[in-house]
Amino acid sequence: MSPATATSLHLLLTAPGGEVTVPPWMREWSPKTIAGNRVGTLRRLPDITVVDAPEPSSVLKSERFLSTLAARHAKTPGPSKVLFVFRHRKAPTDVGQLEQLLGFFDRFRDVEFARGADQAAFALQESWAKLRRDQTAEEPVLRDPFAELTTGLALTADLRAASGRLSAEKVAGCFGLSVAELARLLGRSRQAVSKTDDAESSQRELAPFERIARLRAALPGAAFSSWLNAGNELLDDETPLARIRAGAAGEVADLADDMLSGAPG
Amino acid sequence: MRRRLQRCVPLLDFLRGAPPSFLYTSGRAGRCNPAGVECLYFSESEAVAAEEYRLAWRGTPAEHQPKLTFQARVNLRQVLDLAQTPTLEALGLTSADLAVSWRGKPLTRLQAIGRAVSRQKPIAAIRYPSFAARKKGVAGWNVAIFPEAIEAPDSVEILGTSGVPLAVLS
Repeated sequence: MSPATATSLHLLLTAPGGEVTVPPWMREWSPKTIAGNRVGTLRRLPDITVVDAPEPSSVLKSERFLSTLAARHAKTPGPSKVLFVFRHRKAPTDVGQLEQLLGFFDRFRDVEFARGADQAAFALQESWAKLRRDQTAEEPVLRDPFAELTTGLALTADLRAASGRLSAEKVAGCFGLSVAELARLLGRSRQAVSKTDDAESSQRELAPFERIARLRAALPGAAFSSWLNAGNELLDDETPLARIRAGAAGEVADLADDMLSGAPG
Repeated sequence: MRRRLQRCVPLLDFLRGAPPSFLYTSGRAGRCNPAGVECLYFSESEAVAAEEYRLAWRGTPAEHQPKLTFQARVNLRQVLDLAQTPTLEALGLTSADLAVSWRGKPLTRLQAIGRAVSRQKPIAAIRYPSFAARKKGVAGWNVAIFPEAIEAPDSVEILGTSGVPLAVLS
């Protein structure tokens, strides 16, 4: 896999200390750079963070840099690799030093090492391939515990168009959203939603709204709207509608499923 | 752990007529599991289950509507008991980690531990404090069971009203 095909890779280059220079082997990857003493300003790490250093011993001397990097790595959800590249290609490696480096990281299996430009380029490709594989293999397949029940009992039949598919306009009405606002949440234009409000391409994005709307079985009429607009302790006192407007309808749908299935929160 | 666990659900017509499988796991994230890790949640007592129910439905008409309590009979050889201070210390967990808000958040420490538990045997569950009970100012415990970590003789049985198992996980 070449850098040209890795367009969605978020890559960061750093080095202990106050300066960082992109080494020749890495230029074609166009990494973002950040000086080691600025790593603490990052909220999280990208897909791959490359640490450029002469030797393991030189990194170990920068304990504060390592601790900060490891802390940011620990706070980074999902796959994130850290690749240490040591410039001296033929220097002997002290396994104890590598182990010491790994000791800083909670998720030490995400940490890789390479020596010299050739190894580094290959290790970067390997890390990128593993990330891609992770994203494919570990993407959760979430199932819907009430789908069959509700299909039969038509709990959400009023949200569907004559085609049987979910209607964006009906969903918008149920949630007190404007069609334009729902269109934005669906990543579509107002015009596109109005033209085909039950578009096949919107069904996946509309599915969380249907899961939430099932709460109407227990919260009929205005009670559902009241729930949508009331601060909720299980959502950090935000209202469900605020979360939905923030693009997190899936989170609210999960909460609705938990409420109906009685799963403790 | 050999005991009966509880869970409260709304007494709705559509649940009463054709209840979902209560051994069903969706792979949704929960307090002790990240998305993609199967997990079943129960409370240790009916009082705690009722408190969980009340918190979920607080401020709505459903809070005081009739609810259905169902029971699971569990036989689990090993459970990670977060009531034990040495266990918390060994895992580097604080009481704040156990009550942290998790919906829509990055992986929590408790979820990371749950994922690790799901990938091994024979520890099949985590006993952790009920957030709802804590909010009420009382002690109460829930149990998160990881089906992938269960192997015989571990078992989870959902009990019908007569006490006969309706569904068994083993």
